[in-house]
This record gives sequence, structure tokens and C-alpha cells, in this order.
Amino acid sequence: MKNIGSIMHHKYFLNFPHILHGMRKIYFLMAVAGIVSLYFVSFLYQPERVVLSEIWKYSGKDVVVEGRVKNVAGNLITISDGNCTAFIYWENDGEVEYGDYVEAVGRVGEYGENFAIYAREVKIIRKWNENVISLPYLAENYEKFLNENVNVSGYIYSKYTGYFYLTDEYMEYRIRIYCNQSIPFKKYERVVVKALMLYDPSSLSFYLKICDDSHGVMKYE
Amino acid sequence: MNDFALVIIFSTAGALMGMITGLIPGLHTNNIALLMLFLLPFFEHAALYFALFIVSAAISHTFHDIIPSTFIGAPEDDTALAVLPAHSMVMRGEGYKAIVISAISSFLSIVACFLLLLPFCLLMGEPFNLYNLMEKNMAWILLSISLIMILTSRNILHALFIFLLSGVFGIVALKIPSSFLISSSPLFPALAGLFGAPALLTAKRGDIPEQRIGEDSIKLRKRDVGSGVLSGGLVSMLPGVSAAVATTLAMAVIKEAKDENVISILSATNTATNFFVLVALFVLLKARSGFAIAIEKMIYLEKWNGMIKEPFNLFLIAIIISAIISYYLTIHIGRMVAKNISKISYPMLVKISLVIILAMIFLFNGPSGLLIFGVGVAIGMLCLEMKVRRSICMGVLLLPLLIKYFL
Repeated sequence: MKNIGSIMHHKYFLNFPHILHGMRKIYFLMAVAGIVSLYFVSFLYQPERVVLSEIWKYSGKDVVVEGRVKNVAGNLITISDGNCTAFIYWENDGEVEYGDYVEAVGRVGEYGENFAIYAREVKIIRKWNENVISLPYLAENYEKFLNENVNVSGYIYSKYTGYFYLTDEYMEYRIRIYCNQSIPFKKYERVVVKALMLYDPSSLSFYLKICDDSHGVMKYE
Repeated sequence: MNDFALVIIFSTAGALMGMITGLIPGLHTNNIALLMLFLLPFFEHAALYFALFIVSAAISHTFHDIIPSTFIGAPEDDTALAVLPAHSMVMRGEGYKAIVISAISSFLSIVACFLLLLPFCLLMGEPFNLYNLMEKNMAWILLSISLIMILTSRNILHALFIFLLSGVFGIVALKIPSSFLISSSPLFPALAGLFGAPALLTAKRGDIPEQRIGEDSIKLRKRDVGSGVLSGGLVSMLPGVSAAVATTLAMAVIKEAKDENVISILSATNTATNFFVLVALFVLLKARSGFAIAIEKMIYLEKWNGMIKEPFNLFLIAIIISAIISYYLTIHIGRMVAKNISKISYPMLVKISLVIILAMIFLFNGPSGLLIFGVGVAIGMLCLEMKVRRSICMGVLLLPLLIKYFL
């Protein structure tokens, strides 16, 4: 209590009501009134939320869009809402990854022969690795996850140099996972795999690839 | 006409364009970059030359934008902190000296950037990858800059108060898409309000003294240019951080500095930032500014692998050409303005300057820009009334960035 008392009697606290007097008070009140006005003005400028298939109608205007990240190439992000894809131009600081669900605010403009959203803000609504999905769910909804990062749980089935197989608890499904490093898990041990889901046309099969710092295999907790 | 002649022609034209954008407050090379992108489909084979034009303009802009900041107090994000010292020098008859100091500092900054080019590439890219470390710790770097600024102030409570008020202003104002007749960001009215108008409104009354031309000796400190180059280099690599933060960082480490030193530091920072934004494009394949984004779209970029080869070498040549032309142009135009500025009465100059700033704001940002400007003026004046260091108003950029990185 003594400490709190001494802080409360510190000169800054004693002086606080006095730092705004005379012209200072007028400038302060003008600034606050202005900031409040700007806050309300910002509502007038709220851009319209549109679906990706309709962004071409909004060329030169500000819009809000959302979708799952299908590709990240430098500053160009491709998102999909299930029906359509769109490009987002954004100075990506590495936070946006394949499979993230994002919301972008920006102006629609031309990008080559397509339209793109030149975003001033991109918010990650849901990270790709927030929820763990089971191997059967992945198998039955593969189209949702193709070319995306997945976070899938299952059991080690067999291990080889450079890859291993993951299966479900009834051994109904099985998927190959490419991994450069050997994994410290035994057969039938339950694990979570974070990897990129890809399709191999030569063998007509899907596979997972551990190819990024955010990927890996860990024990299921 | 051979290729090298075209490099020289486009670099020279870029330098002249940078002069125009630098002299007109609110007009940025990013606007020119957008225009070049728009024209590119009609001149597809000239993509490389367009890119050289843009780089040359971006460098030239950093030389010339000190002139409107000094004489009419109209700042851009990278010259905002220089407005007050430069304007004070005008009122002492040293406006020309301020311009010369700025031009020399910018030129020396280019020389230093070339000397540091290779070590910088090695540090930021392979093998040291310092960039990754900085990117991961961006939030803490920004927090440290903010704390240094506040804690080294004479009155910490006042500084904190202004920092938070500017920050809240930034959070609200920078979200408003205020492009009007020309595509622009709300940053110009915000900074013109925080830094430009208060400098004009509070400067010593009376006539503008005759500006001394070539009578003052000019002494520059190596460490001023050095700290500017290092700040510019560091900040140019970081996402979402503008040259304004680089200037703030450079100023944060210097507690007491004369007007001349402040101008020297800020000019060096300003030029170095654009130089290293180009380097980041080749070393990290990251576009850190509007002009870099345009270049990224115009030409195929190959990641730097330890060798400076085409087209990177052509960009470096464009920078040298632009720096030499800009140096002489800045001094020449500065001398011309300085000779004539005293013919105008100070109240008239203030009125003309404010009219120019307001017209620019209306043209670029419309009515919402005027509102942003008004709030900026109130905070800028409050900052002066409370005798708080002007750089604290950079909370307008720092607080929104801190919130973005921490939340």
C-alpha cells in the first residue's frame, strides 16, 4: 500500500489535471471532437462486402471479400470461396499461409487480364492449423483441402526412407506422407501431421508433403 | 539507339519526374508508378526502362521534397520531422543552407549505400538471414523505438499523452479511404496537420529575412549521415513500415541536435530508405513500397545470388545518374527559391502555403482529408503548447503498427 500511495503522490499524477489548461484544453477538445467525428465518418466509408464472383462489378471501388487461401506467391494471394477464386495483392509479411481463412479490404483493380483486390488490410479469420481433422474426414472432403495446408490426425502405419503412411483407427484409409527427416514415432502411434495436400496424377493418388517450416509431425495430445 | 543510351535517357527523365513530384506536396512517386503501370501495355518492350524511370524518380523525389518542406512547411511522411528545423533556418536567413545540407546528405547517403551494399545483402539475405530475425521481432523493434522516443523526452507524461493521442488519431484516420480526385492515402493530410501547419502558424512573426546564399560554412557530421543510412537500411526491409519510421528511429537515438544535424539525418534516411527498398526487391524478392510493387509487376526479378548482374546493375546505374542530377537540381532550385522568398511578406507566405496545402489536400483527399488535416493541426499545436518533441507525433504511425503486430 505504501508503494501505491507513493506512486499516487508522484508529481505526474498530481500534475495530470493541470497538463491541460488554457489553449492546451482548447486544442485537446478540438482533437478529441475531431477524432470522434472521424470515427463516425469512417462508417460512411465502410466498403461493401461482395462475393468473389462479383468483384469485376466493383472495379475502382473498395470492397470486403473473404475466402480460403489457395496459393501464396510473393505478394499475390489467391483465395477461393468455394465457387470462384480471386487474386489479392498484399504485402504479405509471411503470416498468411495456404489454407488460412482470410478477410481482405481493398480496392478492386486490374491485374493483367484479371481483376485483383489491392488490399490495404488482410485479416486472418482462421488459421489453417487451428483445427485438427481426422483422416477419414480429409478423404471424404478432399476437394476442400487440395493444394492446401492440412492439420490431420491419424496413426503411423509404416515408415520408409523419405516417406511414411498414415492410417485411421479402422485402417480404412491410408495416405502417403513425404518427409525428408526420419520421424521418432512407432507403428500405430497416434500423431498429428501438418503438411501440404497434393495430387499425384501419375499414380492417381493424393499425398501429403512436409515442405515448410510450419509443417511437421507431432504426438497427438 | 543502343540500350545503354536508353538507360541514361530514362534515368534522366525519371530524375526530372522525381523533381516534379518532390516539389509538389502530396504528389508521390507511387502515383507516377501507377501511371507507368497503366501505360505499360502500350509499350510492352519498354518495361525495363519504365522500371528504371520509376527508380530514378523515387531517388530524385527524396532530394527535392525538402524544398516545399523548408519554404512552405508542406511535409511528406519522410520529411515531416524536418519541417520545423528547416523552417526555423528559413527564419534565420539560412533556408538555402538547409537545402544544401539536405542535398549533400542525400548524395553522401547514396555513396554510403553503395559502400554498404554488399555487406547489407550478405547480412539481410544469405548466409546471415538477419531479415528473418528482424521480421519475427518487428513488434518488439517498434515498441523499443516508441519507448526510446517517449522515455528520452523531457516530460515523459506529456510525451506519452501526445503519443497516445496521435496514435488514436492514426488508428481512426488511416482507416478512412480518402482518395478523391487523385489516388492518395490519408497520410498526407494527417502529417501536414501534425507537422506542416503548426510550423507555419507558430513560426516567429515578421518578414522573412533575406536568405544568405553561399555565405555560410557547411559542416556535416559523418555519424548523422551514417545513422540515417543505417536506419533507412533497416526499416526498408521491414513490412508495413514506412520511411517515416526510419526517420523517427534515426531521431530517437539523438537527444539533442542542431537544426542542421536534424536535416542531415533525415535527408540521409529518406534517400537511403528508397535505395534499400530497391535492394530488398532483389535480395529478398519483397516489394516494400508502391514503386517497388510497380517494378515487381513490370519485370521478371531473379533473386540475388551473390553477383550483381542485369538488371540489378542497371538499376544501380540509374540511381547514380539520378543522384548526380538531383543533387545539382536541388541546389539550383533551392537557390532560386531562396533568392526570391524574402520578396514575399511572411503573413503572405503563410497564407499562400496554407492555401497550397489545403488545395492539395482537397485535390488528393477531398472533404474527409480536410477533416483529418484539422484534427492533425489541433494535435500538432497541442504538442507545441506542451513543449513535447515533435517526433512524438509519429505515434500516428507507430501506435497503429504496434496494435497490428501485437494483436
